[in-house]
Amino acid sequence: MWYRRAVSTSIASPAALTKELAAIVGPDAVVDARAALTVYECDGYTIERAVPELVVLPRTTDEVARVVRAAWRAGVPFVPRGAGTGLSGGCLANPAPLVICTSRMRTIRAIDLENRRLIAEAGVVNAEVSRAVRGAGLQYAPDPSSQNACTIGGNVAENSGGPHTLKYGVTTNHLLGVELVLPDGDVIPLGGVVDDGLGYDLTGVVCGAEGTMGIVTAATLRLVPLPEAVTTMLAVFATVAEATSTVSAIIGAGIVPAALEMMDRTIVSAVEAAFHFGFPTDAGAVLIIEIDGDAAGLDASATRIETLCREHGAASVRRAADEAERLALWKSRKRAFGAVGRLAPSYCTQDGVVPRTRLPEILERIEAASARHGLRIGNVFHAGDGNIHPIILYDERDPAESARALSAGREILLACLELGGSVTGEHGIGVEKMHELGVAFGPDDLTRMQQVRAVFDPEQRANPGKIFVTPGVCIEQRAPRRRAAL
Amino acid sequence: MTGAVVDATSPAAWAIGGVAPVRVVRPADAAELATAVADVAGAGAALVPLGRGAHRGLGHAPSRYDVALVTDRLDAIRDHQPADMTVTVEAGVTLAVLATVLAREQQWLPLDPALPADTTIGGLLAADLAGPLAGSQGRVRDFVIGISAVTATGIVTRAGGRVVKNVAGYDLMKLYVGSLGTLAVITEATFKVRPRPAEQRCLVFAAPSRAAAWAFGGGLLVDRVGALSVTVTGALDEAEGGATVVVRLGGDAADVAVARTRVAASAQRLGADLGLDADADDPAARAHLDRARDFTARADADVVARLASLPARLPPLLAAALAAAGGSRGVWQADPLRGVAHLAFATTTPELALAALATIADAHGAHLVVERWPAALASHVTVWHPLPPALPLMTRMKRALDPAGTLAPGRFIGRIS
Repeated sequence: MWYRRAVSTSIASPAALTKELAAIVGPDAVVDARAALTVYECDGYTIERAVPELVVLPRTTDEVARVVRAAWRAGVPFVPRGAGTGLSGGCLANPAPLVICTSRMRTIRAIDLENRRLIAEAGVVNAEVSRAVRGAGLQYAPDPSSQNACTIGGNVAENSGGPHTLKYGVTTNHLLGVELVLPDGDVIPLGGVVDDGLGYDLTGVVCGAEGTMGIVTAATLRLVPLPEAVTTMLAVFATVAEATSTVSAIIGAGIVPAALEMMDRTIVSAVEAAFHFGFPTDAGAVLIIEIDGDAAGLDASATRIETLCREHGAASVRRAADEAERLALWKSRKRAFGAVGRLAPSYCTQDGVVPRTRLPEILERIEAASARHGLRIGNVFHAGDGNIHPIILYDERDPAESARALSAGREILLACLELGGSVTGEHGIGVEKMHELGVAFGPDDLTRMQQVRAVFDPEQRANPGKIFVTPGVCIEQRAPRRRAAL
Repeated sequence: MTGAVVDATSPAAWAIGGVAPVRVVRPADAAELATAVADVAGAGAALVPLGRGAHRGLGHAPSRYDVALVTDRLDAIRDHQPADMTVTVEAGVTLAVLATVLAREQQWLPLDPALPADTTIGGLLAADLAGPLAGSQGRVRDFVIGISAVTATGIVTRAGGRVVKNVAGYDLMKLYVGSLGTLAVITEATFKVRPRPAEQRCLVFAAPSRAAAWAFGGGLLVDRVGALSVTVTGALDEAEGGATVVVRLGGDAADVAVARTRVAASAQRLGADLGLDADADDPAARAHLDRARDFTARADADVVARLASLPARLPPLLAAALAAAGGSRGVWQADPLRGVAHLAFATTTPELALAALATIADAHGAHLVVERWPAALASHVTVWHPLPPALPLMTRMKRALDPAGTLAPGRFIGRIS
């Protein structure tokens, strides 16, 4: 597969720019030694790597603005980066040679418990936000599986999701405003604490734009109350088909679980071998179903779900006995990708979406792709959202098998589109899916998006060469990415 | 211009702020609509997209207005997949019709702006209309997952899709929602919908004073009662009585029963008398809920102003606003869950009254949106206050997407054109 990639830009006077940036952020916040730069050669998408020429780690918005302004004057495009846990190559330092990393901006600027608002700088880790307000009975709802590492800035860039988005929504639903450093170094606040916008909703446009409109240095977040009660269930099925029909039945019954996750036999076996939770390894599929809310109605909802599971063929349904068991169950789910490392030398995770009711069809298509290419494919995914994560197992030392893995992944994404879905539910386009974006949308749609981008970034200085295919040299992608945390 | 779609309706019927269009165009489908936009743009003219016109008083009068582009004939429900909890509808479908379709499957789109029978999907999105449910359920932006829109030069484009989770490409839904027709003409939208609560209940309380009403209504947020909506209504002149608190509860029977007990206990503690406690479909309950929903649309007033703040800062903000407007005759309604209040009043000095409200908004870190004003103020009223720091960026957006000023010029914030 060949596709077009922008030509890499290099810094015309690296020594001068390094000196100028060091004067802004201090020498300890500039990385220019080759060995240290290698850390920044990729994010969670590892198939493509590019060692940046220069990395800076500013601590304040003012430093970011001055760094960006200096880069603007020097004609150097930049890549914004948080913790580097992205899964589509959004942080790849190609073609832009300068990485501006916000991971040292770790201050929670304000917490307003009464009004359920929190202002976090870009480098604050997702899980720290919820930790900061848990004592007051509040939480920050979006919970990507990388939540102990990923940053709020990265979450805003990717419009991150997580298992609990089924009920609570994704990042954009909890984002009231951002502080944005435009590609010329201007700092502009968008939105704010008041939930009633003035003018165009540019906050909503910047969220999910993958850093192509500037660098988000702070975000105003909405907090939600912790549920009064939570019940987590594990339902075991002989077949994937029974499990997917149960998903439809639960949603069809008017129940919106907080989370509704599925793992197939391949994944269950790997997870059980790794974590010994007690999953039945002969099961065709398991569902993890979590409901939350007022204690009053929760038991009745749980009973209804248990009935629906049994009606659709569940061999067993059990409720997590206590918080420890509940957490163990979630640990198994959130670390499923790591457990897969036991099954094959290499694996790649895809991220696609289909309408919930088409889950049986996409799973058949995945099975067909597996058979056609002679590759094992496991499935662990957000069933309630129709957000699939097929994990393709292969051996990267075998070029032919690697090529087949890549083809299988692409076929699955195109199948998602055929079934009325999307090529990415939460991982983003980055460099990985630029080609697929061009299949999902027509030229007029993409032109429109680029017109919007140009309003923020007319010179394409902020994370160029991402999302949209740009004219330039061709790069061959030989193998899929190897691993991912989710 | 394509003769077939020019409508015989009197242009005067589509006047906005005293400005009438030269002609009315009512395309039958998105393709005809795109052609109509291209024709208007080709002629160097300007258009305003409209649904049924029920909310066209929102926003400034257009600086140029040749064509009223009425989308009410785009009235197809394109796709409703109950099991996927998504629905795709054309821009001219009304909220009332959509609600009926969804109700057949025990679903709803929990957005309840005023006048649902005359509010189209296009209008809902373009004006970012919100009602009492917004405080608990979210706003338009939270439910739109896909959109089709015609650009200023007549090109049909789309963004998003029909699945509930999707990060492919920019989220242009957010850009168009609330843009008042100034960036594109929306032809179709896909929403995620929700299961309709199995049971809904309406409780109406009479509070002896504003303070009591406020302590009660606002307290429901703190107490986490989980109300669908809370509206507090009263007269500008407090001598006319206390305030009415309308609480809407919803969920499973058990949830509603628990919430009802908590609400009643809280009311009793604060001296608010229970006037009505009925199923939300009961006619008396329905009347209360409809009145709260249609508050601004039905208000007999020269001036309607919306103040939005952080929820906890609403009581002092509202107290200051009511004190400033105290000499006028009118009514107010506040939503303690969302932090929004409306004042509707008659005044002989509207300019002074609005200037006072703007000053009060500034002092409380609040937004002021003037939703209705006397005709005499049309040329100099500031609809949105304060102007945001990003206004230059917004102006650039307008100029990038509509360089000729074809789409609703002058209608939006800062009279962007």
